[in-house]
Amino acid sequence: MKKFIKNIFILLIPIFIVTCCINYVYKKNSPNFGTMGNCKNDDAYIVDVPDGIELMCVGNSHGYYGFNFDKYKNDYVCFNFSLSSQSMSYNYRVMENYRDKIKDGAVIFICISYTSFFGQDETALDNFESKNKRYYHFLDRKYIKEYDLKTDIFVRYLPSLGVDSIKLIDTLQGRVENRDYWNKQTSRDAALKHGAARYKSQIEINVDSDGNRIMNETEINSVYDLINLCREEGAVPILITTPFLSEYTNPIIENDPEFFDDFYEIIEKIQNDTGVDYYDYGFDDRFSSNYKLFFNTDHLNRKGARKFVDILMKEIVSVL
Amino acid sequence: MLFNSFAFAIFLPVVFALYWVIPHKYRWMLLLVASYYFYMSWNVKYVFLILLTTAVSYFAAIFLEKASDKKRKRFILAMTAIICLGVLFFFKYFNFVSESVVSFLNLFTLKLNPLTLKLMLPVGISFYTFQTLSYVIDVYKGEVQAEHHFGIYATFISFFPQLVAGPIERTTNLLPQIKAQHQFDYVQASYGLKLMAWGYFKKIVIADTLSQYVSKIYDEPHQYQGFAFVLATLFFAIQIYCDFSGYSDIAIGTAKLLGINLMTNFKSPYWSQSIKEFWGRWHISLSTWFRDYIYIPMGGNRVGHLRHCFNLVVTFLVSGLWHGANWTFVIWGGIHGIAQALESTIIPKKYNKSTGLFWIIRVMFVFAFCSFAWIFFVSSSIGDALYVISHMFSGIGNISEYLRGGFSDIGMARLPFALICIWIFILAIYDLLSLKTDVIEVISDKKKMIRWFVYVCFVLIIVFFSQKGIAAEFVYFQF
Repeated sequence: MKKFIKNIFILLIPIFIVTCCINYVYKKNSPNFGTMGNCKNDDAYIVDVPDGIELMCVGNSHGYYGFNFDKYKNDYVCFNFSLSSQSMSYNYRVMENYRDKIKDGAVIFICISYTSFFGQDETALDNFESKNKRYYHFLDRKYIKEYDLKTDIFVRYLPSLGVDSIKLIDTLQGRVENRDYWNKQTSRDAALKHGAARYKSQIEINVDSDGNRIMNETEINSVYDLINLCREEGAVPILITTPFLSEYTNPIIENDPEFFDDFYEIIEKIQNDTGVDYYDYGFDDRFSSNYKLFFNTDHLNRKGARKFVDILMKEIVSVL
Repeated sequence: MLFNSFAFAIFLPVVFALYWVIPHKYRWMLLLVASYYFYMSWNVKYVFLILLTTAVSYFAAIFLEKASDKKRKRFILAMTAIICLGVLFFFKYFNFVSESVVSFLNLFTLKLNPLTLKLMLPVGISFYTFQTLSYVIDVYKGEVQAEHHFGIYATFISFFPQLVAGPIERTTNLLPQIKAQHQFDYVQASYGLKLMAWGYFKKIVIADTLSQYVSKIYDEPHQYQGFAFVLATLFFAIQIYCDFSGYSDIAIGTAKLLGINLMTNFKSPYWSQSIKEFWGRWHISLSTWFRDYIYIPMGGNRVGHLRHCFNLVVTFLVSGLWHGANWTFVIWGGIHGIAQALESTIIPKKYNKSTGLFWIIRVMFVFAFCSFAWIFFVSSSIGDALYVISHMFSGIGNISEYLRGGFSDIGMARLPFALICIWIFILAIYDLLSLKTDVIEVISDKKKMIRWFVYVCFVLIIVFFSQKGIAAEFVYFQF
């Protein structure tokens, strides 16, 4: 028995050493995973949050790609808390975590997508576990959904053991996937295909077996929580829907005519209950048919994001 | 609790340490508690089902032993089978039978809605039900004596390494080992650990990697055509083998750590040169169960040729149905049954074994046949399977586009393809060598430096090349 246990430990020593070495190189070669960093968007997490934020955005990938504050960084303390596929309930958790960073009087854009209020709870989705890992990097454990210590240890200290082998090889070799699609622009043909696929994957999927739309009360209530949090911190919350190409919205109108009625009904209720302002750029003519401003039907590219923020500064922030 | 989970990585060392620390007389208790805990980690409620099956078979065996006349014995056996198989039928086949009956009646314009129940299939129910039945049948035949110690018998039925996906153990092999006093054997434990590592390699490095590509195509087959189906089908053939034999290796290895030898469940099945040989090497514990309790009682091969063929087909149809409550599984079983019947008709016995090039051709043919049959196994419906079969060679006229399109549809880049080819090559070589020798023993006999180098490299491959972040249940859990 002693020999057996001794041999197991002897086996574990070189494995431990090699693992530590690989882990070290992996961490060293990993990109700076901050938002708007050079990384695949699913891996992005929030780093280097400044104090006294005056202008900020929180939302999903529409906010992540749609807000380019570069031009205003000298005039304001800006930060984008959006992450790809970030739910409203996680927007609230992120804001709770960083509420001390918000300056009195700050303007907070809460990015609302047309799909934000529909569908089943994100914890029931297949990709929840992998998506949830990013929050271990920057949120306090009390704000992490379904927190568990094992994931915490792996994400923080042994990240090389938690990644796909192909990504591990790429990272060890210094090949980091570049988010260069933010600099690309789409075309009409690509947009038509993308819009049809998006309808299937984002709208059609969110109905139950009887054909009724699945309302997600948790997500709706999180908007109320976010608005309250902003006001408690003395900030101005603004609900905003980023621009979309008509190739995204048209299939919805054609296939599910009641979809937007359902969406605006929820928005109207939130506005009536809280008095918050809501701006919808989803059908804005300055964007909806301009392929040069998007890299797909629902995400602005760098140029589009710059133009969008210019418009927001002129039409909303300047008149506050 | 999955074998490839963090919980099991804690559970097993604790059980292992306690098992060898406590005196022999308490070990069955530890195994029983550990096994029930292991099972309850899936669903606490279903523990009552295994308890019911255990209690019924326990008392049935004792009554069988005491019963003097044959009529009474038959009655006890029949009642036990009705109860044990009734539980299995209710949870596994009720909806299938209901839907099938209604579909049949609908053919005669009787419009009825099937009565279906929203039931979750208890993990491993087919496995422990069959183990229980084999025990009762053996007692009925007088081949084994009834076990009078309920605790030890319950441990035999619920022994955690093989509880949820086999091997389906025979009373004569496992029960005496649970009762026997074991001394820790370094060679046996170290062999068990190495076998577990090999099982993990097959499961989490090969099977889980391939499962992503297979699922992509077979979840929505109507979106694809051409070479993607060929690739996905070949991948599934390897995935299901690695998944299930991987589980069996981990189970056998785990049992060895506790001083118990379970039966071999796989012996390089894809190196078989006939369908008959394949079934002598694939899921051996189930194949022999069907052989002993269905095929041979029907007459086996000691009857006329036609009757023999009939026995083969019926046995394999039942085997198909055992695998799942869907007509696709029945067809899969039927294909294998018919193939074996044809094989026994066409190929004379003197050609049962070939060598050289002919052997290679036969091995490739058997692999291609098995892969074809797997299409029915993996498809959700007969319609899907037929669609795959009828579209798998679409566009083959333009061969380069056909191949490129297949890789593109399945979403496999060069590096993942190269890696999976390496892993499959290692698997193929291991299995080929296993036909003649015990590879683990061969490596264990090498010089210290060489074997330790192999061990370290192998564990590192498992650690860094296993699939992360995907659902990694074992395929056979659903049966």
